[in-house]
Amino acid sequence: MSSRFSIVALAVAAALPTVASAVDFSYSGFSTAAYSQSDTNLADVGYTSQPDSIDKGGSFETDSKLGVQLTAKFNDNISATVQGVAYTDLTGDFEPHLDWAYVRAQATQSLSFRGGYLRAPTFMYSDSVFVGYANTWVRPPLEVYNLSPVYQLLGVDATYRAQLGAFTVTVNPYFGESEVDVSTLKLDVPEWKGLATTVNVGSFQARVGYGVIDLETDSNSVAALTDPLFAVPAALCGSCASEAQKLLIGGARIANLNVGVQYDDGTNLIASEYARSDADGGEYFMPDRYSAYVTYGRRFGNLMPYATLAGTRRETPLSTNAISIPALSAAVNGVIASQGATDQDSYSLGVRYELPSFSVVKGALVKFQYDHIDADGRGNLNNVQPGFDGKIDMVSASLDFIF
Amino acid sequence: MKFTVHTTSMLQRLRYLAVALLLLVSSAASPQNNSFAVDVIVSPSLAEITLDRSLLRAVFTMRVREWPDGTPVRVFVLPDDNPLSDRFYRERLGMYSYVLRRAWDRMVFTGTGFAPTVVRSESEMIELVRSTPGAIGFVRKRETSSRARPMPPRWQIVLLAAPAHE
Repeated sequence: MSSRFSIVALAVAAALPTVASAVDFSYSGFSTAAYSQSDTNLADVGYTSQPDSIDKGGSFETDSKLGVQLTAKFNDNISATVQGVAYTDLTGDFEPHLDWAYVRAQATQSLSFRGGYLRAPTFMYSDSVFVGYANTWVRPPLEVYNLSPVYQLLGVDATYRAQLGAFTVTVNPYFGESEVDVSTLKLDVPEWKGLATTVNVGSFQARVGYGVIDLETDSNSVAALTDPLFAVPAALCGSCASEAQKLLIGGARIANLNVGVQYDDGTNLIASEYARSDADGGEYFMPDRYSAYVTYGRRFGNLMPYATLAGTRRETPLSTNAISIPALSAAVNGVIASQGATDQDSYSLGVRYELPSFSVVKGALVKFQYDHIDADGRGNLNNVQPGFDGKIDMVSASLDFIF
Repeated sequence: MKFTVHTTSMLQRLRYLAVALLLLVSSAASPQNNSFAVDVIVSPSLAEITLDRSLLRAVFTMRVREWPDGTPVRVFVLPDDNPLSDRFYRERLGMYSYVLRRAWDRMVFTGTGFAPTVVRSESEMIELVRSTPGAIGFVRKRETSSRARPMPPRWQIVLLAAPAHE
């Protein structure tokens, strides 16, 4: 990570002009103070594999964030931005992270390039998911937003924007690498590439995104299973090697497809996304899934009630009969039964209320949200315990502001 | 005697009430209310621009980066808590100010764009729009606005005169 920091620092330094007086500095920030509580201790609601997420004991950490951003605008074409955000990461620690750090070059009015730490536009709101003020919900629908295990990209992207009559078309290719620490292991992404295309016309926005992630990891927690599976001669078990591959996160390739639409006429807001994740390798831990949600909100002055329906479906089977050796088959099926998300539906009802801005606070709002989750087995939940009946009721409240 | 006095008092009250109602009705459609209407102002370089509500919304949500002639779009706004801002956003764009704020902040915090330039006063707005090619802003409607051209009829676009030194 330190060498990556150095690369970014060098890039930023290289972009610094010699005349400091020409630089236009600006700062801004955002914060979310949130509390959520569910009605059970038998399962937690949170981001994938996140320990100590939302349960009956309540959580201030899961959705709370504090972000500060500094932008140096050298001229109309070159700027550099650093954004630090304190949030609860996938290891469960609430600590500061360098979330964005990039140099932006506006080549033409239609074309810009960025290099450094970015957020890949995997989903429609991936890049702004931490900015509570900019989001409708207390947290984005996790059925969709938990589909990708990584979100921060160290690399480059380009944004090309064209006006075609009433249509504004934005094309955003990106390329780079990533890494993320989750509770039990460290995921490396040596290569991550993708493309997001957005079309805006009037109040309507449509978006298609596609990205491919190559995964590596520093540990193999199921080596005791995969090693013997690979060792079995093909003549005895023709599928053992391919089944072993489905247990390996290292070497897996995940393809994420996302289609999103949004209609916002200033009074009515409709947002919907469909996303699917297809794994080539490692699918017993990161199963093939498709997910969707639809949100409707209506503004009444400063008040906006909203409702969301969401669901996710697992396509990877929950058991396998492809392993002809009984002992290995039982062990592999035991792993499959305990890992990876399963089907889940949820609905949410919430309300946002805009508070008057004051002093340096440019905008502030409060949100209250009720969620009902209906999971088939583990669903999209963490830390699921025996006896869990799949149903969770949860309430959340947040105060979001920007400054 | 008492009866007469009472009648006079009632008539007087009715007269006051009628006057108050008249004042109320007239104030609802008074020039005072019109004087709070909003003009869109554009820089002298945009003499031929045609703005409908859809384009205006795209411009103020910072989705349009350049005008059809290639001039970069420069958007100037008043602070969010200025009543004129609220009026302009609601009446001309059909949006609440916080919806715009949300769109701008999303761009700022995701590096996909910049928020409009906030000016402190209408006079500063006029000066900056007048002197900045491709600039657009809004001010309180003035009856003395010169070269006003209604297009479309729901609002006026005021093309500012070029600065004296140009």
